[in-house]
Amino acid sequence: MTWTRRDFMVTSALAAGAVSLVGCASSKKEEVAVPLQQEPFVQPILADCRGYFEAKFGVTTETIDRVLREALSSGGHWGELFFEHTFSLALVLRDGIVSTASTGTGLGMGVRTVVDDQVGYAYTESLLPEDMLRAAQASAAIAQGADVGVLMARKWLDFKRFYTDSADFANLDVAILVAFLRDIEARTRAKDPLVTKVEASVSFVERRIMVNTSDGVTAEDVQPYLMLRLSVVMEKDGETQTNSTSVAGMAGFDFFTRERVEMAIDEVVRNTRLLFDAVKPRGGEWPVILAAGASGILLHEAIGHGIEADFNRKNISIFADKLNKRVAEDEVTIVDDATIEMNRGALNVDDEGIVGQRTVLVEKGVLRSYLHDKISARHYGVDPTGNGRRESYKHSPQPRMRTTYMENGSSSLEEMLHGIQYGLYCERFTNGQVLIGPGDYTFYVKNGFLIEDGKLTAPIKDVNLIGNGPDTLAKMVKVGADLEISTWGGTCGKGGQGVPVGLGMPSVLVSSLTVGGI
Amino acid sequence: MTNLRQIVTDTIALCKANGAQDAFVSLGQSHSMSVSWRKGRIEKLQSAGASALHVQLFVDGRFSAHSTSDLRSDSISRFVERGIAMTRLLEPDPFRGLADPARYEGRTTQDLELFDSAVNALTPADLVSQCQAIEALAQEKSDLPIEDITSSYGAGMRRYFEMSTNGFEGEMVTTSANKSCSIVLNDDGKKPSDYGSAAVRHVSDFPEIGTIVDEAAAFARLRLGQKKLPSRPRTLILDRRVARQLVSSFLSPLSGYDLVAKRSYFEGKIGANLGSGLLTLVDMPHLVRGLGSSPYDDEGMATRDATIFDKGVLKQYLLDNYCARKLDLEATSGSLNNLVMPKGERSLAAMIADVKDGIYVIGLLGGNKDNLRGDFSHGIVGVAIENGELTTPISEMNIDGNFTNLWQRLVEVGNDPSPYANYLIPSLRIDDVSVSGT
Repeated sequence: MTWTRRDFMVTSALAAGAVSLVGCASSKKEEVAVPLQQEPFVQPILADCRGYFEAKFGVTTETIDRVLREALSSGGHWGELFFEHTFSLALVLRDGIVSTASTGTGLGMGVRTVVDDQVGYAYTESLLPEDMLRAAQASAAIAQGADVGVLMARKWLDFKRFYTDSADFANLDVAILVAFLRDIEARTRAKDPLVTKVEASVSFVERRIMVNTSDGVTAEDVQPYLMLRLSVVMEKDGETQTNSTSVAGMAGFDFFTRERVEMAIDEVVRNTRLLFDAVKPRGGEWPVILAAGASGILLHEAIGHGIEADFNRKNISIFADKLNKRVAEDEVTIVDDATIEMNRGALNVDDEGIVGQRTVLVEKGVLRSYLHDKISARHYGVDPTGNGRRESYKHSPQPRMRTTYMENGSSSLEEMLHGIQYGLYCERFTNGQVLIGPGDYTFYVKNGFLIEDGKLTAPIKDVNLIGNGPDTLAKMVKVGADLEISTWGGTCGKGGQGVPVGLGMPSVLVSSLTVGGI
Repeated sequence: MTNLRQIVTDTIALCKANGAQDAFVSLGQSHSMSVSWRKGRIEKLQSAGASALHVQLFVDGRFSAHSTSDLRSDSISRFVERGIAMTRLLEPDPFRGLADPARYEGRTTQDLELFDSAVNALTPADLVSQCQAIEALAQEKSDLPIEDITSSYGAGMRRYFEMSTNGFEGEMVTTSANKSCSIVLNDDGKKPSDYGSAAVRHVSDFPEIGTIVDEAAAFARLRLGQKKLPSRPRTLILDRRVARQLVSSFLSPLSGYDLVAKRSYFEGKIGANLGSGLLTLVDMPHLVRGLGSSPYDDEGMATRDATIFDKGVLKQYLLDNYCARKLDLEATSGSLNNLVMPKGERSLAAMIADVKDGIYVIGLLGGNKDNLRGDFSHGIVGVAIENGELTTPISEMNIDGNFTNLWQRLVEVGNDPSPYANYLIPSLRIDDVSVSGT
C-alpha cells in the first residue's frame, strides 16, 4: 500500500529493532523530482565542489561560525551543520510511451548538538541566518548544563573521488531520456516473443551536501545516484509471469552503456521465462548456495546491521560481545567499503564529514570492527569508520552500511554442489530484514534453482529464507573465487531513514538455512 | 505563518500564464517535535518545520509532477517554468487529466475532528515527562530480564491548501501524536525486543501509558526462549498487528498501477469469491478522529465509504483517474483511508483457547509475494499453541501460501481491532497454513 502525504502518521509502529532492505522501491504515486532545461540548476563548480552553498545561497563562513556557536551555546561536546540541496528526476515508460515524469527539489539544513550519546537535532528549509540560528537554539536545548562547547577553526577535508562530480543531472536532455527508454522497450520486446508488457523507468538524484563541524572539519560533496528499473510481463499458453530488475550506480548518464543495459534486458527476460517452470521448494532446513553478486544481501542482514555500532554500544545486538572473537571459518573475510568506484554504496565523505574508506569487519573469520559514526567511535575510543549517514537534512546520522561484500575464497561451484542431496541455489532477491537483538534475519528469493543429487535442476521462485546471523556465519563452509560486486539498486531502511547501499559476494555454501516452502 | 492559500493561488496563476492548460497544486506545511528517552535521560530531542509544494502539470496533452521545498518566490517561478518546459518534451497521453469536477462535489460536511489544539500546546517538557513516566512503569516489570528501555513521544501539526484549475479547493489542518515504549530483554545473550505504541489525533484519546508499557512487556515476554519447530501445516492465530500487515500486503495489487501493468492477481476478479464469508473490508474515510480520515482524496475527489470485500467477494479496485481511464472503468480512489474489518464476537484469548495445534503469530519478519500469482512467503515470530495453551515461543520459521485461496480458510475474526492504527483489523484465525521450521 502506498501511503500518501496525509498518512504521516504511522500505520503501526515500526517493528521493534527491525531493519530492512528493499530493491526497486518503486512508488505508485508519481514521484517528485527537479527539472531544469534552460537555466543550469548547478552553478559553476569550484574545485572539489567547494563553495557551492556560499555561491548559490550566500552561506558564508561567518554565518556558519555564528550558527555553530549558537548550537553550542548551552554546551555540548560538538556541534554540526549539515546543508543539503538535492535534485531528482524520474521518467517512466508505460504501455509504450514515456508520459510520466517527475522532478523534486529538496533544500534544507540540519543542526546537531551532541553531548556524549545525547543528540539535539533541528532543521530548517530556509538558509537565512535568522532561521538557521533559530534551529540551532532548538538543537542546543539538549545540552542544558553540559560543559561549554569549543569551536575549532575549520579546514577543508581532502578526499579522493569515487564518482564523478560533473554528472549534471539537472541539464539532462529529456528528449534523449525518452528515446533511451523507447529503445530499451524495443530491445526487450525483440529479445523474446513472449514479452507482452514492458515498464521501464530511469531515475537520477543529484545530492549536494556540505558538513561543518565544531571540531574543525568542513567538507562538500556532490553525489550522483542513478538507476534503471525494468519490469516485464510474459504470456505463454494462457499463463502470465512477471519479473523485474534494476541497474544502479553513482555516475553520469553515460553509465548506461549499451552493454550494461543489454545485460539487464537479458537478465530480466531470462528470469521471467524461468518462472513458467518454477516450483516451490520443500519447506525445512536445507543447504543453500548463494550465487555471486546480489547474494551480498545475506551479509547485509546476517551480520552488517548487527555490527552497526549504535546497537552494540547500547548492548542490544547479538554481536555486542563478539568483537575480536571468531565468528566464522578462516576463509571468511567481510568488508564494508565506501571506495568502490561508481558503486551505489560509494561515498567520498560521509554525512558527518568523515572521509570515505574501506572497513574490514570480519578478517579471516574474526570480528574486527563495528561500523561507527562519531558518537559510537567516541564511546569506544576508536576512529570513526565513515559510516555516519542520513537520508536527508531532516534526519540525524546513524551508523549505516555502504557496499558490503565478502572477499574471495578458493572453492569452485562444483565443490559446493558435490554431495548435496537436496538444497537451493539462490540468484536473485527482492528484500530482506533482520531483528538486531536475537539476530534472526530473512531474505526473499525471486529466482534460483533446486539442487538435487549435486546438480542444479528445477527453477524456484518466491521463497523466504530465514536464519540467525551468528549461526549462519559459522555455517559458511565454502567460499568461491568469483566475487562479483552487484549493480542492484538496494535501499536500506533503519529508524525511518532510507539510504542507498551496495552489495557483493562470491558464491558461498551455507550448510543449513530454513527455507520457506510447502 | 506562511500564507498557503496565497502561494497556491499564485502558483496556479503561474502555471496558466506559462502555458499549462490544467494544474493541481498542493502546499503542505508541518511542525513537529519528538523526544526519545533512554537510561534516565533524553537520547534525542528533535524539532522541525518542513514544507512541500507539489505541482501537477497538464500541458498540450502531456503530464508531469514536481515538488520542491524551496518556497522563495523567484524559486517557485523558475520551478514552474522549468516544469512546463520539461513537460513539453514528453510524449502525449490521452488518459492524463484532472478528475471530473462532479467528483469534487458531495464532500462530507461532518467535522472529522482531525485537529487538536492540545497537541499544538505540547512543550518539550510535556514530552519528556511522559517518556520518563513510561520508562518508570517499564522498570517496574522486574520479573523480566530487561536489558534496555527506550520510550518516545512525538507530536506534530500539518496544514494543507490544495487547488486545481477546474474548481477543486481543499484546506485541512490536522494534528497527530504518538507514544511508544520499546523493551529489550537479555535472553542468555540474545536480545529479543518488542514494543507498545499508540497513535492518535487528539491527546485526550491516548490510552493510559500503562497500556503501552504492558503491551511492550507482554510481547517481549513471548520472545523469551524461542525455538524452531518441525515443518507442517498448522492453524494460525494472527495478532491484530500482524493481521494489519498481512491484509495490507494482500490488498496492494488492488492498485490501478498494478492492474494496468498486468501484474495483479485481482485482475478480472471483481465479483469473484476470494475468501470466506468473514472477509469483509470497508474503507471508511469519515471516522471521527480517524488516523486515515480525509474528506477528499489526493486528486480532490470527495471520499465516501467503499466496500472492498463483502463476505469474501471482491467489490472494487483502487483506481485513480489515470488508471481508471486506461482500464475504461470508473475512478474509485487511488488509496485507502481507514480500512475496517467488522469485528467478531470473541476475544483473542478465547480464540487461542480453541486451537489444538497452532501458532499465535506476533510478528512477521521479511518476506514478500508475487503480485501476479499470489504466492507469499514470510518469516514469523510467535508462540506455539498446544491444546489451547500458549507453550513454546518460536523463531526462525516461515509461513507460505497463496493469497488467492488463503482467505478461504479465515474461520474467525476477533473483537479487538486497535483504535490506534488506520487499519482497524482484529486478530484473525486462519486454518491449515504451511509452516516451515526444522
